[in-house]
Amino acid sequence: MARAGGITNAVNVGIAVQADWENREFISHISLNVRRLFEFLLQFEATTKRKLASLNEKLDTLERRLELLEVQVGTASANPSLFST
Amino acid sequence: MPLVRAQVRNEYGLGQPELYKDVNREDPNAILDGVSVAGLVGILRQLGDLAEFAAEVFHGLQEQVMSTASRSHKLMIRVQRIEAALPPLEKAVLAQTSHIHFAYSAGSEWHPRIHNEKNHFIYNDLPRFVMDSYEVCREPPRLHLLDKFDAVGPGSCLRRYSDPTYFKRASGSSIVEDAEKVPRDKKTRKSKNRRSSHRHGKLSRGASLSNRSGSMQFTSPIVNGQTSSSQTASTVDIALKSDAGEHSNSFDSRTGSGYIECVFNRGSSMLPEEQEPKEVSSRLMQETNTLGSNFPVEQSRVIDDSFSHSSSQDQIAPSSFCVTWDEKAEIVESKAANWDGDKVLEMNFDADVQETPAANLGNLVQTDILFNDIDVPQSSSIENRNDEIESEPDNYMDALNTIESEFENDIECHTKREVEQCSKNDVECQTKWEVEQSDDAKNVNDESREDGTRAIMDGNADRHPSIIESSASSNIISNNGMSSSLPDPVPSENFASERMPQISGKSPHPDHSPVTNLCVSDEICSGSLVESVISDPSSSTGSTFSNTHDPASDRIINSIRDSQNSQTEFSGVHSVGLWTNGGLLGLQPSIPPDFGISTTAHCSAAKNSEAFDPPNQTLMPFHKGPRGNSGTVIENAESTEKVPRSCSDKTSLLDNFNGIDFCLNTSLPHENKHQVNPIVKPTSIETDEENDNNSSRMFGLGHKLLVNGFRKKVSIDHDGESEPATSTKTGVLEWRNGQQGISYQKIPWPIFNEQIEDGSPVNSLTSSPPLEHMKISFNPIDGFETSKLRLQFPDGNRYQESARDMFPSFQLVPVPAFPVHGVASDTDDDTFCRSSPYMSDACLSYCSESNSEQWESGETPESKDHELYDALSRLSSMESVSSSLQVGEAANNGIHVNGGNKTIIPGTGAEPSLCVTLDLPSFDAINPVLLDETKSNSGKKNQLELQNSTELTPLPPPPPPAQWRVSKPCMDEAEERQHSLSESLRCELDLKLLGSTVSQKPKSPSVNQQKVNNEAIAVKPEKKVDQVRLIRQKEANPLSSDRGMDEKEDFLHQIRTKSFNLRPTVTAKPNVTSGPTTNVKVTAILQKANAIRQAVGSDDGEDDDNWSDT
Repeated sequence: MARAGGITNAVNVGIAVQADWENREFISHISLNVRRLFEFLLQFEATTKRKLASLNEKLDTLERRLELLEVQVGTASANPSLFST
Repeated sequence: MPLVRAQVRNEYGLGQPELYKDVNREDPNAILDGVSVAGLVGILRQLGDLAEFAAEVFHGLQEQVMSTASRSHKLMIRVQRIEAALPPLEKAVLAQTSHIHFAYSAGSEWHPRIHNEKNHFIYNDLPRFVMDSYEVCREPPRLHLLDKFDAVGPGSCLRRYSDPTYFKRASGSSIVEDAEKVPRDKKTRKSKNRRSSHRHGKLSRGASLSNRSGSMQFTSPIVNGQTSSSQTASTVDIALKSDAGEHSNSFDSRTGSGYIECVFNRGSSMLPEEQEPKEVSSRLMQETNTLGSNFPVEQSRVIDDSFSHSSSQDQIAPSSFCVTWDEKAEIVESKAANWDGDKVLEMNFDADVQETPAANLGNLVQTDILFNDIDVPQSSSIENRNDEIESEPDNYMDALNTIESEFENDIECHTKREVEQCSKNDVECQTKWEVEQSDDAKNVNDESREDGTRAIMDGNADRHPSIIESSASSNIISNNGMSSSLPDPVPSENFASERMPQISGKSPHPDHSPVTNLCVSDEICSGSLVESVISDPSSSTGSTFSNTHDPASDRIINSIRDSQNSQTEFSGVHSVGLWTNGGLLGLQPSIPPDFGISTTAHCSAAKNSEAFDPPNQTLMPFHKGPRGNSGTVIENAESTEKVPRSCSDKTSLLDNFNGIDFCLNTSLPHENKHQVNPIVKPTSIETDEENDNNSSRMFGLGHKLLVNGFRKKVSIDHDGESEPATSTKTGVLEWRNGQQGISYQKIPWPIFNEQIEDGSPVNSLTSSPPLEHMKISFNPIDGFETSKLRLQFPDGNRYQESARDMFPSFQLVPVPAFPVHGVASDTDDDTFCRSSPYMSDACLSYCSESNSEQWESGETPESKDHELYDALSRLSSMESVSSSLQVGEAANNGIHVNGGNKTIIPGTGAEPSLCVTLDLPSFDAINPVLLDETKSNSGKKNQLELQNSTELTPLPPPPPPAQWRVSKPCMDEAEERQHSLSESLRCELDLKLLGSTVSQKPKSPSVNQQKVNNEAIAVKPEKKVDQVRLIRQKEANPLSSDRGMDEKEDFLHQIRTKSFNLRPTVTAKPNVTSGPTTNVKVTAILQKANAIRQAVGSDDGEDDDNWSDT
């Protein structure tokens, strides 16, 4: 009985250990995925910011050009005499 | 050590350990469950961290995206605004007939306000994970409570605890030592330059530096320089070093410490400002830079100000770790006032005692506050105040430099202001003057003059800054720049009252010298100073252009002197003369106004004569300018004219146009069509082929011609022919009424081309004024053809003109019965013949004339020697006329016509090689013609060819037209051979012409070709216009052929068979004898004759005898 109880106890321990392993595997798996999520977020942020930076640069260029255009248009519109000829 | 963006801890570590520690040890399941639960909890925390991190990331991204979206939205709005504003402008632009003047319009002077961001690493928008470290750090202990027990003063206790300035001071002292090693002279110079430049930059930048004004206003010019140039740490360092060299080390260290305190102690920031911390700040700047953060002094001060005044910004602007540290300290303690006092004490403690009193501190605080909000214009006054407030040593040290720099800056600024004022005054005066002139509006001269002046005024107003900038380019300009700019206001004042003063006032502007010259001339005209003017042309005619120019200007000046005794005006005029000299040098002449004024001066013949002189002067510089710049002369003229024109009335425009035309006309009437054309063409070539040296040569030649034309023009003007020139207003045709019919024809031709190219029927040949101008504008368009040709022909020589001229003639004409002729001709001949036969009957009448003119025109630029040019032109004109008149002949021999054309071309010196190639095909046809008409074009042509071969062979062969070009590369050697052969044969033919016709026939190298030619001639004459020549040729050709056939039928047979053999043999010979010189050619001809003789002799002895007899 005692032996049987010991066996059952051992079996239980084995089962528990196995379950623990499974739990640990599950937790590690989740944790790994969480880390992957972090990594993804970091990459996403970096990529997005890089693209945004490039976009901002383009916007800067556009703004400069627009500024020039505005000045030119303003000058041209302010001086209709240019076209009087 | 990489910065930790996000840290993901172990999931089991995140879980509370109590979950598995407090469990019953005997129950393993509980323990394992506890561990697993802890892991799960850790995962949950990780997820929570992940969510937080994701929120942070996305929040930041959202902010950026929002900002980007807002920017894009703003851009969209701006674009829509511009889009809405464009249609009227577009309509106005498209309504313009010629857009050239837009390129020369003054435009808008605009400088983008480039915002140089500083403190890329020290900025208030630090990432949160970086700011966290600041938030987490502990505050310094409240050591300031112990300051009252410390003899040194406030802040001493805290400094004893932690002195963040220690390292900075150490590094600053080392830098100072290095700086002292540099000789003091260099330092002073640099400091001077820096100060002046920085101040200047500061003033110019003005509003954009509103934020920096606080730093700029920090008293000494050095500081100003620093502030303005603070973007680059290097410049700041240099200036600071130079300044530091002037000061003692102790002072530097002391100030450094004080500055540091001021930097880090927001409350006491005023103190360092008082203490002239500029040098120190520079050192500190270097220190901060060494620390890896761009930390300009200005920024630091601004930050200090912000700290002192608003505690809320403390966290926002952590310029450095120390700064944040100070901020915190300050936040913790609300005793900013104590800090100020402490700092004063500290300053004293560190080293030399600052002489700045406490009262100044308070003032400085106020000034600082002002600085934060003061705009640039106010900064100057503040600077003065600060200079006064500055410590004495600084004043002593920088007194001279500051004074000098200030003086320089003041001068510059003053000059600029004056210029601006002058421009404004000019405009105002102009308006006034216009009002006055409105009364006299009936007077065309007055109107035109007014317009011209107005245009000039506008040009001056627009160009003032540019003038000043360009003044440095030339010594003359620089010399006159200051002096001339200063007197501006005075003449402008006089301007309203008198007309003359206006011009004189404008004259000081260096760039507008030609304009001023014209104005002067115009004034002279108006002032009825005909005598002086007349004297000018006389002088100019005899002497070279340079000589003419100077005396003319001087005399104009004299005339002005006589007319107006005011020295100011005279000075202005004199400066104008100098500027014209500068224009001659090609500096920057703006002639167009001259033209306009000159045209306005057309009122009387005397006035015209006067006006002509100035154009001579102006044109010369004007053309030379393009020479160096490889720009388009005529385009420049138009553009420059149109620039003033923009504000002027249509009358002024017309006048301007007429002015341009008039200048061209000035050359035209005297130099006849020949020179007229060159003027136009070289310019056109230059317009399109700016980079080509040959074109520049052409231009130079054209320029010479222009000079000659002007010379002659002056004489003609004296003759009273100036009126036709003035008549240019009425119409193009009227230009050359009294001059020459050929030139008269030439004018419509370019116009016609222009119409074709433009495709705008509006530009008609009629004499509407725009058409006249269009003629000028035609030049560039015509040049496009040349450019195209050039593109096709990389060899592009200056002879492109001739090629261009010929090109249309060949293409336009339809083919009359050429194929028959092409049968016997070689590939070269084919190409040539194809091109040549295109001369159509209908087009010949027009094209021939035009061609002749064009050729002549092409000749003029190419012929450097005027005499030679005349001779060639005569010959060429003879050719062209004959070709045009002898249509029948041309029709008989399409090749011959081509040969004539090409001979003309070599006559012009354009294409010797081409003429050779052309001569070959024509050679056959020439025989009958020669038989019949020894005096006809062929004879002349032969002479021309010989002359060309002798004279013009050294010239490089011009690029042939496109059609010929295809075959040319392969035929270069063959052409040369054929050329020599053709010449030899030609000479033989000439010699044989003297002898018997019978002998001539056997001489012809290819009997077949001759025969074919005879046939073609027989067919062609029917189509041709000139019946007489046709009949002659018909008669002559059959006669010759019949004789030959009758007498030596067998011989011809043999020769025909031999002719094919002869050809290779003959062609082979030229290789040896092919030489450019006539001697070589003569030898080659003799050899060829011998070879032919041998070839014939080998076949038949009798024939050989006959052959030898010939």
